[in-house]
Amino acid sequence: MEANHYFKRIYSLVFLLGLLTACSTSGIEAIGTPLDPDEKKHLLIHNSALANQVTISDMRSRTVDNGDLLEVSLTLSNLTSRDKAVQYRFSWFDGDKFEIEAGVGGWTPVSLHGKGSVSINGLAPNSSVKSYRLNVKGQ
Amino acid sequence: MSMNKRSTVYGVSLLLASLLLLQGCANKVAYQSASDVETTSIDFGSTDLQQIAAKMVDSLLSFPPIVQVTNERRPVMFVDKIKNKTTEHIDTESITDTISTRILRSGKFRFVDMTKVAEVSQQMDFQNKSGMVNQNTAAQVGRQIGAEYMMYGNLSSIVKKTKNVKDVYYKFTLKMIHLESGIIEWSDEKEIRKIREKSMFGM
Repeated sequence: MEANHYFKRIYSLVFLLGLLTACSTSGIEAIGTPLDPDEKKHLLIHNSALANQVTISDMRSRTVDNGDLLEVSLTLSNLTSRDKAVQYRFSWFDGDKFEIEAGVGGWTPVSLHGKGSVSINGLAPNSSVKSYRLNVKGQ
Repeated sequence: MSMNKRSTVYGVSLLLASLLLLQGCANKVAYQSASDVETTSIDFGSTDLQQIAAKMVDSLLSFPPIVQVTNERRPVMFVDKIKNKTTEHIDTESITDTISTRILRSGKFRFVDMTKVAEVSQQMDFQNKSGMVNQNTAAQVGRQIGAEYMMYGNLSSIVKKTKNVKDVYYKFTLKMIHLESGIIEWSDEKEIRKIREKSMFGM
């Protein structure tokens, strides 16, 4: 019986390690469709541990000087009092939800001071973009 | 716990430890996403290049005077070399290639490639002078479009070291000049700072 108990402990530890590894690759997603008449904004949380530490807010958008490129701005805030390093990446979609310039542009590392916020700006790669997605994940 | 059960637990633990050791020694090659943050060393890397290109392209295409110009037409630009003032060997042409590709794909600017002038000239000579090409289909000499803008810049760095810490600061400056008037129409900078600290065990 006691041996079974030890085995269970080992399996639990391995499972927990696997779970932690899985969590580190997922994060938070902010999705905006500013050119839609009923502007839709969503925040999807895939990693609740990260969402308790970091949040995305103030999703704003515009086109500069009547230009046709969508410019977006979001605020990334550290909810904890410790410095936090995260990464973010924009994805852009056309009116048919096809990703534009997929795979172009990498993850950008950003350091957030304790209880601090940073403004993240992104510019659509071309004029066909109608919606965007901002992914945030831990280091 | 009986001796048998105890030895089984020790056996499993030893097996797990040997597996971990073996895994540590084995060579492993894996594909990684080119967009992932790369921190293999403190030297200039792909993440730095991507950050610089993203900042410069976004800044240029959202600068109000440039937006006004590109709303009306697609100006022609040529990219000069980026001076590498750092102590590292950095392929600055790769940075300008990424920047010019993204600007071109935005549909806002067109480019002339000054690195291919000799090859283009050779091909034009072949089409117009060799007598082998139907002149109705030959590209006409003297009809290329002159560039209106030139892009150029610098990449510099400040490196500071102590026994356990290395601090590297990169500054990338890019400018766009209007060739006819000599006016700098746009300029921006991207700063990157990286720190490498030796761990307690010197790993």
